[in-house]
Amino acid sequence: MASRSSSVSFLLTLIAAPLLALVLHICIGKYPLNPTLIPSLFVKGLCGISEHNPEQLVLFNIRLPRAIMAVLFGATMGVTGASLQSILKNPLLSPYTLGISSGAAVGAALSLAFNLGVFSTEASAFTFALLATFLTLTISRFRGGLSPVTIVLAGIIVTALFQGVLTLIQIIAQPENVSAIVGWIAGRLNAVTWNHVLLSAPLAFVGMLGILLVRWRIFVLSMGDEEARALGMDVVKERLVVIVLASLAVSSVVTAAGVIGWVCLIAPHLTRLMIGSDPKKLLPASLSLGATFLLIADALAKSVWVYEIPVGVVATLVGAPLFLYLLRRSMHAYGV
Amino acid sequence: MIITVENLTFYYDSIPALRDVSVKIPCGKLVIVLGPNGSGKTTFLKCLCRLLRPKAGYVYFDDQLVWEMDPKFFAQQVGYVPQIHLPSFPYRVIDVVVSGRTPYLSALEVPSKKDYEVARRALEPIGCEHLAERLYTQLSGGELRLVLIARALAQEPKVLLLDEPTSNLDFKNKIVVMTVLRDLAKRGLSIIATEHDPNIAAMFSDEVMLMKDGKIVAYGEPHEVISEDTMKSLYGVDVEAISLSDGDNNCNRKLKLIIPRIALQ
Repeated sequence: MASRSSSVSFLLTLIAAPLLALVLHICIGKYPLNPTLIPSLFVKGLCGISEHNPEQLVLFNIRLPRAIMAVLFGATMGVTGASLQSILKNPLLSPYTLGISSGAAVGAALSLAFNLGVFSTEASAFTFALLATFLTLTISRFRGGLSPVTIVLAGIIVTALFQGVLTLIQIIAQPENVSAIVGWIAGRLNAVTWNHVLLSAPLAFVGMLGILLVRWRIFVLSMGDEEARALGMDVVKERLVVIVLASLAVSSVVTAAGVIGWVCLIAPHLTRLMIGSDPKKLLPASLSLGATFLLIADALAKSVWVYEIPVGVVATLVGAPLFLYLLRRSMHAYGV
Repeated sequence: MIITVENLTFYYDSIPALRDVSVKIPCGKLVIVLGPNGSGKTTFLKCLCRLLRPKAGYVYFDDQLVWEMDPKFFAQQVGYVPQIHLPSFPYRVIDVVVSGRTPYLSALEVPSKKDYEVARRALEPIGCEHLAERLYTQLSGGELRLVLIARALAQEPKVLLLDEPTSNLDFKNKIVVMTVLRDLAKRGLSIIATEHDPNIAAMFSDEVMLMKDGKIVAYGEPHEVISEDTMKSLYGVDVEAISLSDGDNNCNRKLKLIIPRIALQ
């Protein structure tokens, strides 16, 4: 059993890792900032941002919103990915399997292609992301009482459906709108403003906090429906609660930053490979690692080349070899 | 806990699985349910532990109607060990066992130190303390079955229901599992287990229940119930019964084993 001091140091690591990555992320860029100046810039910034101090402008208007969005996105994907994999008993799942990403893409595309104006692109993307999840759950309920298999199948159907609609929109839309759509879907941490952060933070926090609070129930659900019921759980209801929390959080960060893939898959697995599947630690650790990982990936994305590389691409290029290395090291745990 | 089953009926879609089953099972006994494939054993067990809702009839634990009990309270009274468990993630054995404490936790709670102590104690009667820190994906079939029994024991139940606890186990592990169950029954736990091997039932059970076509055809002590006639009618196999009684070959109780006739030639 974990002693008190080891769980304190575990908690400290969970906080320290993304913090260090955050400082790294803030300092790296076309206009490098000296890490030692950050505290004083902060203090000065709290007293009001000066128009004439370029370092302050870079920190507060460009670097911080982008870094915090990366934290929100990575953390949300880490914790929702791990919890959905658990409650659906499938290590290959991500929140995108529920149809959230294609739903959001269709919402954004509709708004961008037809200049609807009534809704902003963000509102439209968010609405359609939730609509897709709702469709997935409804189809699954209709045909199989929200069992893990039917949820996944329904998610695949809904994803295909929305992909079809997305293609259709791209064919109909004006060429200049198509590139806006493609750009939106690819994700854009580089264009994130404080407004994006403020709009997505509340639901992301609610979702993450809710999931962390029910982390033991999530673990027991991963034992299988029958066994969880035999342990006194209301399986369908509790699974639904987790899915709703996860889709609210994911829809809100995807709406703000686009469809950045791979974090939701790799963060839970890196966590499992590094600390094992400890039911009390997995979700907090996956949250922390998701944030750290996306910060590092984005720091590389904006610094390794003359052009910015999409962060999703960097996440894949860094994540895949790391994943393979850890998998080789702990293959036996998966019974391979 | 005395389990009373009255006119229990269940069917899958329109296929009947249990037909008007009534039985009274006393407490502190190891009861083994025998019957051919598809005779309704598993359905019977699942109706007892609320995994299936009967289409008609009642199940009482003492004088409480099972379907009127609060699910959490019910899980504190009744432990269930499934026949098949497919591990999804490499959890530590102790974490799997401590999940048996879930009925005692509120929705937002995680197990306390005390719950982990209960879980560790649950590993003792089955002799698996040494497995606590192992990953349960790396256990043998026999060890996994024992760990699932330990999880049910961590529920501190009064009734233990097991679906074919000896399936897929080797000769020794079958004996280990059945000895554990017999000892637990001696400590006052009411245990009902389904089983395919009549001789396992004869050797270890206190009482045997024979099922065929969704009905209970016989219930009683094994040496009375397991006979040439009943086995012929249950499985359609000709058997020879061999009785051992006090004093025979160090046997200190009544024991009747059966051997298929075809093996005697």
